Amino acid sequence: MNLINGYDKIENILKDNSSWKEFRTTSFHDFQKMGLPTRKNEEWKYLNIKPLADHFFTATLTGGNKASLETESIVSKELNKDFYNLVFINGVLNKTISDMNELEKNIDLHLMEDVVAGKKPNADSIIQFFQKNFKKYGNKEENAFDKLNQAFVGQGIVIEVKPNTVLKRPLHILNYISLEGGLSLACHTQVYIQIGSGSNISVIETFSGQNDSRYFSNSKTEIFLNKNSKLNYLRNQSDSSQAFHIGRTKIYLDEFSTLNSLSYQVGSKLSRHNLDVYHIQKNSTSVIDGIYLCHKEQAIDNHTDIDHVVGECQSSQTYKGIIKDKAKAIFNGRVHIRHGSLKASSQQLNNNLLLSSEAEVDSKPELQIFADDVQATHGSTIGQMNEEEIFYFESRSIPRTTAIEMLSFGFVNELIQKIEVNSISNWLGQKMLATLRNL
Amino acid sequence: MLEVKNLFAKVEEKEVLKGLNLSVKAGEVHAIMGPNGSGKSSFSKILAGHPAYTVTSGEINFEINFKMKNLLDLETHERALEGIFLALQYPIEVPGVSNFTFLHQAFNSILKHHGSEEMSEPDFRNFVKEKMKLVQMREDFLERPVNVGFSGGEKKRNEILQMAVLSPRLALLDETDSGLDIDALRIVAEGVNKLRTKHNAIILVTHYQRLLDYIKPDFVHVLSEGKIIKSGDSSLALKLEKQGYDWLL
Repeated sequence: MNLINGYDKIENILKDNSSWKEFRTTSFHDFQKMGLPTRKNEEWKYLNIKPLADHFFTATLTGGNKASLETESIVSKELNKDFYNLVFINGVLNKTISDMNELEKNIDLHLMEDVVAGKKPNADSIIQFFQKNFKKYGNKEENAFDKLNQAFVGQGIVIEVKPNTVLKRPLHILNYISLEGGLSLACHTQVYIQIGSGSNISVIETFSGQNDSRYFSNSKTEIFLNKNSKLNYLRNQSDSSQAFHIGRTKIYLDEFSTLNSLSYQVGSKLSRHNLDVYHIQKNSTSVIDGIYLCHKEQAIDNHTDIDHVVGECQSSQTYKGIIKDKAKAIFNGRVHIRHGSLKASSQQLNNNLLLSSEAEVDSKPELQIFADDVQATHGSTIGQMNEEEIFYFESRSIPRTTAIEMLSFGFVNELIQKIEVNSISNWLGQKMLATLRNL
Repeated sequence: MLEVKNLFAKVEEKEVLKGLNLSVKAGEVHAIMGPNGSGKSSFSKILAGHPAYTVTSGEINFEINFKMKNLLDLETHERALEGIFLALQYPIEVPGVSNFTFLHQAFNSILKHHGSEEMSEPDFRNFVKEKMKLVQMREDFLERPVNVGFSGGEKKRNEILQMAVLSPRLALLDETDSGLDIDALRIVAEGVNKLRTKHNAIILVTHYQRLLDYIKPDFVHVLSEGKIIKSGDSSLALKLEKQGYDWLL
């Protein structure tokens, strides 16, 4: 199979210690046994991943050239000075253009390759903590891409935010993939963030790459919010138009912690983001939003899984998408309120705007409620542009194309405006305008 | 400025105009009155270029750069760029687009069309604030989504604000008085009167005479079954108010 190409070289490259080695080997065998999911699998019913399997990729860990100065300069021009930037190019941390000094003053950073090689016992214990949580709360099966990610991991970062840390600027983790000599790369990364109690931080994860280049990004991010902490999280998937993107974010919420999350997906030919949120202690709150803009023959899939492990927590989801040409969007929103999770409150809304007759959207709410005395609502709409609105704009001298652009922006802008950090909402608003102009 | 000759038009399969003739010169105010379903609103939408209507025969000529041009050759937004403005009977609510952005975009489209430089946000803000005084609108309305959550009167005032900002040569006010209480009616009418000049023309489409107490028309036309059956001066409106339409039909 094309996706496991180069696996045999990993051992030599990483010289990993025994616990990681075993984990890696098991995951690799699991992946081989499972094979890639097909549409017969309920979880993958609407997304055909065959185009991904048809291509040949080289894992960044085993091949791929160092970023050229030209790539470095392209990426560094894109960096926003209002953020603390942590830049990975082809899976490798680029210290030259990252804000290492400022970051290291505020948070502890550990490279995955050092952790895997047994050089960072502190970070290793953080990962073990996440694994324990997954065993304890994660009642879900890991899929083939999780296994693949685990089999090839060696790149990424473990971040420790000490209690009562307030980061002045958002932390921006940028994963950029370039061709550098022509190989189509597969980049399997992991990010772990442990947010200490009473801390308040903003994290942006951006996935992007060289224009129109083909690559495969398969990422996993796990975040733990300790008591009384707060996270504003933006996941910006703006990969190249020919890229394939699979990603999972898992977020655990302890008592009185607050999560504001926005999953923004506009890139890639084919993409899937799984967002799993676990309310593991009472009085935790999550606001989980999503924007997807797709055109041409793009397929963008959002799967959310909000798990009310305990009661007295609030979750609220709003996903909005615009689908044009022959593109396809999928929203699968699962809310799981476990037995005994009394007074859980959960809202879910998915609104879609179709801009062509061939565009497709599959919107599927999945409410699994096993407790009494809960509040759970869901709603889904699929609509088209209102011709009377367009006429109103035209009658005010605004051309039709501009009117559609402005109305599209208006349709999703509400979610950008909800972002509490101005530097992030302004930055993303500008990006979204540019995307809508080319949609 | 405007010459409408023997105009026939339909919406879906229904004929709404059946040989309408009208001539409007710069500086004039025309009132078009008539019973429900006579084609009044259709006429104003056809002039503005609403896509639901099809002109089947006849002509609409509009003066552009001192030459009479066929209006039907122009797209909806091109007509607006040339100075045609329609204040809607039911202004559309546009969630997610602020009044400011909407007005700014519209205004700059017109500047660009005339080869002028676009106006910056701060300059436009000052410009539009002045215009808001004309219709007694508070500044915070600029940041609100277009017409969303506005009362009936606020929506109509917002239409007149747009008119003030875009300063059209030919303004079509479609039932602007409907749904307005007496205070709102006075504010809207005063706004319109201040925008009257010898260079622009106004067509008021109305069912009732009461708006004409505040905006005095030069001509009053009665529309019935898709054509004008009677024209006169402002006294015709008063007569209609007293006697209704029956004596004409």
